[in-house]
Amino acid sequence: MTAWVLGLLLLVGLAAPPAEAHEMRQPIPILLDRMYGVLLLLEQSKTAEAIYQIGTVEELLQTKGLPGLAQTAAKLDQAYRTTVADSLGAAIAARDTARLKSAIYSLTYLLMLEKLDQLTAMLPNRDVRPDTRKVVMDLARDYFSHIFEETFGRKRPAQVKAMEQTLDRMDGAVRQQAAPLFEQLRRQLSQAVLSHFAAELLPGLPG
Amino acid sequence: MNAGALKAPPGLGVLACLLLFGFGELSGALQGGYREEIRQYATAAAQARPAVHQLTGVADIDQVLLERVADRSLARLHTFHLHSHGLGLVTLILLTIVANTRFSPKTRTALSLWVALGLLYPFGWLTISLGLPMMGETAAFQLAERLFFIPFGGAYLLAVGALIVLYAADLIKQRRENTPP
Repeated sequence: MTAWVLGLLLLVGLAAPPAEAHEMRQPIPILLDRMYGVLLLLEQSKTAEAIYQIGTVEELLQTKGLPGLAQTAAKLDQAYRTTVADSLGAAIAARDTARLKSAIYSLTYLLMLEKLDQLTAMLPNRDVRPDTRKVVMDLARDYFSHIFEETFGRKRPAQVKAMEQTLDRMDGAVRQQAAPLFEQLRRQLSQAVLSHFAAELLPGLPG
Repeated sequence: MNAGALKAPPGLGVLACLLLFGFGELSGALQGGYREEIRQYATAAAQARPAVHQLTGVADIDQVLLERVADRSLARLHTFHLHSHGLGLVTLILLTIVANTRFSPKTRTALSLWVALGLLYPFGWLTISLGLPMMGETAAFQLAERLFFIPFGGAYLLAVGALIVLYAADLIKQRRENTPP
């Protein structure tokens, strides 16, 4: 009987997700969700399906009055002086799986950076409500979790865990409105992403 | 109170309860039939007030903030629907209890009016639901508090408290009267 109960407990323990498993903190933005879908297809070398999926994302986002993938990339390129939109277009035209993956990882990084820069601007402002700051921090984290953690969590667990810990500390800095600490951690995270995923990201991304 | 000869509550009181039920039903039907339209109204109204909702101009952040406004606006409408039904029913019971007490007619009328005032309390939730996309959650809640929750919710609490005290006092008085010397 005891062995049966212990066995059951072990099964329950194995079935339960690990505490550090990635969880989304906010509703997944359509863009993030579809980028993940595209990456999954690319991982399975289904490049044609991935490109078709990118086309459907554009249509879906436009019908919802939201900027599409290309439009988002162009906007971020303008803000960060990068060339992700061109790389994305070229990768689609050439049906280049590796380049397409790089463009999507780079776009994810820029989207995360965009949220972190919003927080940098928000933190010194006492009028910004804590729940607004939380939404922005959660979204930055969700971009990391849904793409980088999900894709590289098994391949490079130590690096991903270290970046998660930095994000945890950033979360705390946002809650305490500690702008200098947040800024320091933000730089640390950017450098970690750029160095650990240098092979996957496009060159020339800002830190 | 004699269960065998139960008196009906005042007609106007019953009508007020029925009206609140009606509003509750209407809000339920609106939620069921026009859920997307209500969400769209809330989103559009919030989008027109970026400063109130601290919109950032970044599409995905604003999408989450606007969806949250729409969700909360719908949730408050749902609370209005639930409270309208619940309070309508509870008030009907309270009015019936008041009508069947041995209090003087003046006390019964005063208590019935006092209890019936509480029927306005759920409209506070409707105020939040409608006001939230326009003025933000905190301001909408403060407005509802000032117009409905404190005056009518407070009146209802006090009325129920007064009814409990008076009813208990009357019960003790009845026991004493029935006790042989």
